[in-house]
Amino acid sequence: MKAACGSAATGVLIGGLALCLTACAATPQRSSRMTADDFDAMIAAMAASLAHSDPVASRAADSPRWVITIDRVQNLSSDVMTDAEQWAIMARLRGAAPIRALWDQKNIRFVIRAERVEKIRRDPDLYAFDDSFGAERRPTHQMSATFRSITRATAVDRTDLYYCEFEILDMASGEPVWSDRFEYKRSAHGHVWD
Amino acid sequence: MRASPPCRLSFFCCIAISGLLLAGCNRPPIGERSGRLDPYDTTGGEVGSLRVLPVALTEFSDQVAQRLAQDLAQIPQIRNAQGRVTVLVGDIENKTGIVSSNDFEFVRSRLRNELLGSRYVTDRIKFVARRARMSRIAERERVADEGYYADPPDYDPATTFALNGDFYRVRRGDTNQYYMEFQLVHFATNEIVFSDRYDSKQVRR
Amino acid sequence: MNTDEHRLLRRDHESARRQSLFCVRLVLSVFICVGLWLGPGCQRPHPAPTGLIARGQYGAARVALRHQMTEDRADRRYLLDRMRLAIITLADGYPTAAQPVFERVYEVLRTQGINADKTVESVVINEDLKFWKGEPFEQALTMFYYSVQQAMLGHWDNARAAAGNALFNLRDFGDNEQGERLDVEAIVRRAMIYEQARAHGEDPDAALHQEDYLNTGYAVRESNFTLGYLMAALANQQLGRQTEADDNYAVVVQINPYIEPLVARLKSGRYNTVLVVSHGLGPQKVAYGPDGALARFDPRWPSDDRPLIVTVRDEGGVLDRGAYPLVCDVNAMAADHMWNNLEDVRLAKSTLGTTLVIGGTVATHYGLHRDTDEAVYAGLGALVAGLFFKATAHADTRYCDLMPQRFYLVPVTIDRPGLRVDVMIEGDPGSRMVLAGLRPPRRGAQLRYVRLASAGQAYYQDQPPRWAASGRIFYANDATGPIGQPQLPFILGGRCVRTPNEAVLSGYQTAGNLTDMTLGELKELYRAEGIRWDVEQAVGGAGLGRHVLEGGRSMVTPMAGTAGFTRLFGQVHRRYHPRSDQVRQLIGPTN
Repeated sequence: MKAACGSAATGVLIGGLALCLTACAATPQRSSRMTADDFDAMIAAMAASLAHSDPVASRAADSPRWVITIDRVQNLSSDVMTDAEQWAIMARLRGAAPIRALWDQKNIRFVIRAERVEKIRRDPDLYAFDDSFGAERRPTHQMSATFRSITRATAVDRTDLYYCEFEILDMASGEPVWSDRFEYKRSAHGHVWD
Repeated sequence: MRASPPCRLSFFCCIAISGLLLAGCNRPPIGERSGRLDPYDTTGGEVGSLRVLPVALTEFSDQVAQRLAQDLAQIPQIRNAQGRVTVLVGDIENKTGIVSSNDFEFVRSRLRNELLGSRYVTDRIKFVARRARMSRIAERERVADEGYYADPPDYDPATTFALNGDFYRVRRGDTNQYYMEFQLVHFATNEIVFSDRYDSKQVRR
Repeated sequence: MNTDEHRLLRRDHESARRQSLFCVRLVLSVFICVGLWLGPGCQRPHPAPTGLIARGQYGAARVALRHQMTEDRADRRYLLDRMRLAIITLADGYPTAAQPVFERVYEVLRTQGINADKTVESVVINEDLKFWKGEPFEQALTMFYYSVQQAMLGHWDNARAAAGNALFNLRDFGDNEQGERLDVEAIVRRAMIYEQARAHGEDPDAALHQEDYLNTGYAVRESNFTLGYLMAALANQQLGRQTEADDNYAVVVQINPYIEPLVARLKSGRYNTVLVVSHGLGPQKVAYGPDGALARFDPRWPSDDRPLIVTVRDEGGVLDRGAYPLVCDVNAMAADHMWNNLEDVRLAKSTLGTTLVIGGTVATHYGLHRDTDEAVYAGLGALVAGLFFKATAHADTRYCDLMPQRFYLVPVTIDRPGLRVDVMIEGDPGSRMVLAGLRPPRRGAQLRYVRLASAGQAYYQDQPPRWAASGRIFYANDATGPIGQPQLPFILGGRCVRTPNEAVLSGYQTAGNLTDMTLGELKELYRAEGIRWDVEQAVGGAGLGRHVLEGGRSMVTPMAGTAGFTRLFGQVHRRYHPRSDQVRQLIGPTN
């Protein structure tokens, strides 16, 4: 009887474990969205790329000043990015340590974006900020980014190839003075509806 | 009454099962964050999809950009020019009928990005953005005074060119052959100063 | 065998019986315990305030839903709660307030296979054990709503991304011999036939390594979600990506040639405002079949193909009038097996299998090697287990009960302020709504979501609510500015619910009101009343509450051109009842 009870218990244990293992088995990647870690890696890579690029390296403290304005990321990828995220990526790149080091060494400055200037000017609570606010603002360059992706999916697998391109454009000549990209894939397994 | 060892075992088994089941049930629904994959890797999802493999597009844009950069640098009008010539990237049209416009834009963007970063061309060529884009930026930044940003007439007509291209596909059986044809034309006269095609073959298994 | 041996044997037998009984009790206890644990899980989600929604009272419905919402991310109704709230917040005209809710919903919907490994658990224990992710059609519609929300905010790039995510691949089990779409019951039958054929004719080892009919009997096909393609096309068009827009428009026409004139109008770009109009209540999910193991969606609102009649007017008369075709019938979508996850089919099939396996195993274990008493107890245990599985085999009937029954998409041109857009489903005056306050967009096109009051037949007897058809704006607000009345804050007896700032205060003072008051003092009055006007502040924490015109403490203006805006400002509300002494003193005897 002991053996019977023991075997029953073993059966229950094995059955239970099987149930649990099906539930808790090593879970495959479940989402192919861009992650915060991706943004960190991307910003670090782009900041280093810009700081070491030929156009920046060839500049000096007495070079003609670059005044750079930023635009939010244009999101042409398959992943939804909030407006805040789109601005945050550009702001974080602007504020990255390798970029901040360029301010004096390479005579590069950033200005707040045009929409912000307008918003402040129009803010009824900030009545001291009239049209004289930002009147001398003269950006010479624009830093922008465009995110794209290619998506491939079957019934149970999805892969997104993300292509994130950053660029600084000379606003007078139209020439991109720096451009680089950060590309990677993310893959997810499982029915999208399940 | 003291339970016999097998029954104690049963009891603990049940507790363990219950605990595990509950743990399984309470797992948060959000997917794990995992590592990035190399863009040149191919995944099961991509293979299973009936559409063009992304890696084929990636490699194709790499190859075309590399060869085009080398070729452009060798064109006499560019090689012998005093200083850098100006090239406006014009239309590159998708005539494949299978590559979606989204995928095609990926190829075009990647190609442009490769060209901009290529040392073969940056010493000799100045790629410039299109007027429409410049106009939008200038308007948004409130610097749209006439003459602020450069127009084609502002460039030296002798050294200004437009790069146009077409993206084609030929499919026979399981084989897809993609090719891109590029033309560098003199901006003012539209005279073709360079034309070549770059192809890549993909066999679907 | 002597007497001692007999006694010893009988003692062993008794001991074995006791232990056998103990095991059976143990098994029963486990099931009871599991049942108790599942008790909270079996509770149904709070019913949606469909009565409020039917009357177009989206503000009250939104607040009610917010209060019911679980904050536990592991809770199985986590997504359902948010899906409902997001949809109603959008209907109420607050896309900004809906943003954080949609973000959570999107994150879950983009997570694949959440329930992939829970089929066995749900069979053995309960289908409710699964995290609720909705049927594919509910997911696609929710992604569509996210796209609409982003477009309302002018974020066409994100609208494009969200619309793209609504267009996921579907499983198509095909048609029957008569060329009709297979229904769920037919798929169950086919699955069982497939299994039986395999059981009788195939090598067991080989069969073990094969998938079943539900995993292999379908073809993967691209989505036929017309509304999603239209939204993707619109977004691309607004981004200047005409080629991709044309690709999507082409798919729309291929799926539904009936709406080609609408596509032609959209492609032409002769519009600056797009109205996404919805009406009715979508189908409800009900259990049916043996033990309620299967589920289907029954219409709550009848399907038909009546167009939406849209008239744009100014003070002088009609500027534009058109009939716009139905773009999406949610009843039809829900009825197609491609838009269902068929988990009920899998469950029904697996439950049957599991019950047989357990019953057989226990009977074999005890019946073949033990005497009859033990077999009886073992049989009893198997019976209880069988009953347990039978009792828990019901299909999961949770569903998003706030989905509308139908959608229209309407391009119009708003070339100046002051125009009114009159929308009504043909032959249904109860659905009429007159949108006032729309202005031309600064650039590109603007998009508005308009959810018509739903249950016209039941609640209004073919008459819309008075506010819906008034076409007027009775209160000064942040979207449309001051009105002709002398300017005074609503909380002080006036008809202004604009955000307090220097310009607004100056307007009051020009009208001879609040001449001694500073902006700081005015803001302090609002604070004393607990009223907030900043959407970010109002959304954080407890979420956006009711508007002050409806007895709440929010003064955030909904977007003009939505049902929420029309309801709030298209009627005269009761006077404000102050909460603070400061305001009471200011109002004085007039209150």
